[in-house]
Amino acid sequence: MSEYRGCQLPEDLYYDLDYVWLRPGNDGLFTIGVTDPAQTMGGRILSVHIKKTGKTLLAGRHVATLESGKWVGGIPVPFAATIVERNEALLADPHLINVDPYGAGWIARLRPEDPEKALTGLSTGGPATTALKQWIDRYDVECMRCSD
Amino acid sequence: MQDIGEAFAHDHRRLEQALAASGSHVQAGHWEAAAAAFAGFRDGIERHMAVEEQVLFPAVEKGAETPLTAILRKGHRDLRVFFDEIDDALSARDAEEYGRIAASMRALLERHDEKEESELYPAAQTQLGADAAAVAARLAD
Repeated sequence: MSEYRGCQLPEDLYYDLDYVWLRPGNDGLFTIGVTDPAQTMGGRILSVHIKKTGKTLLAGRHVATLESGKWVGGIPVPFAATIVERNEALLADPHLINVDPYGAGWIARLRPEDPEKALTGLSTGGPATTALKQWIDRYDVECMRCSD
Repeated sequence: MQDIGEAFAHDHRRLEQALAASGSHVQAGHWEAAAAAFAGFRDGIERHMAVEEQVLFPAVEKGAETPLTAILRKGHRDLRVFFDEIDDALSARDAEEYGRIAASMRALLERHDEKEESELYPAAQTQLGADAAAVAARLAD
């Protein structure tokens, strides 16, 4: 796990190098969430809307919308996919994104339309860490992790 | 002669009214009128964002992107996805989906516009100086 300006950057995840991380599973599904620097920039998340399971999304469309007191943003899917599962616990407690963005704060599980090409355009490992550090500098983010 | 802040803030209010008109037509079940009103809103806000991206952002950046312009560019990207999703909801005549997306979009616009009016426009006015009036006039082109 890399860390930069207080932001945790797991090296085993895949990133769109903006807000989103993805974790491929052994079942062919991808879990999607937002990065530690992105949750910091958003502030304390007060509400989350996640689209319904079974919904098919084009690449770039929002799987979820997050809202804090100072920010509203959509969470785009990097590839065309169907929503298989939503994190119901997150809908009940949106603050989970701030507390545990890579764990309990996951947003949804996706089935990619074309599994062979799902990771195309995403970054991981050292190159992703380098690019995410540049993202953190670009937005001038100092990460803070909420404890509750 | 209008300054940047006055002209762009006035355009924000005009665009809010155009978006509200689309929502009123959806509530009334007048889908063709809603689509026409939203198309007018989208044309207007695309022109507004284009002037910001092509003139105002570069004016305050002076060659290097700032955290402010990075956040505002991100807001424009998010808004364009919401525009596509609104078009989808209008095509599907799905009032519930339209309402949900429009609510998120209005919340984003409210915070985005506030940031532009309090931070971007004063900085751009300073940098553009005597050229500011001509830039403001581009909103009406």
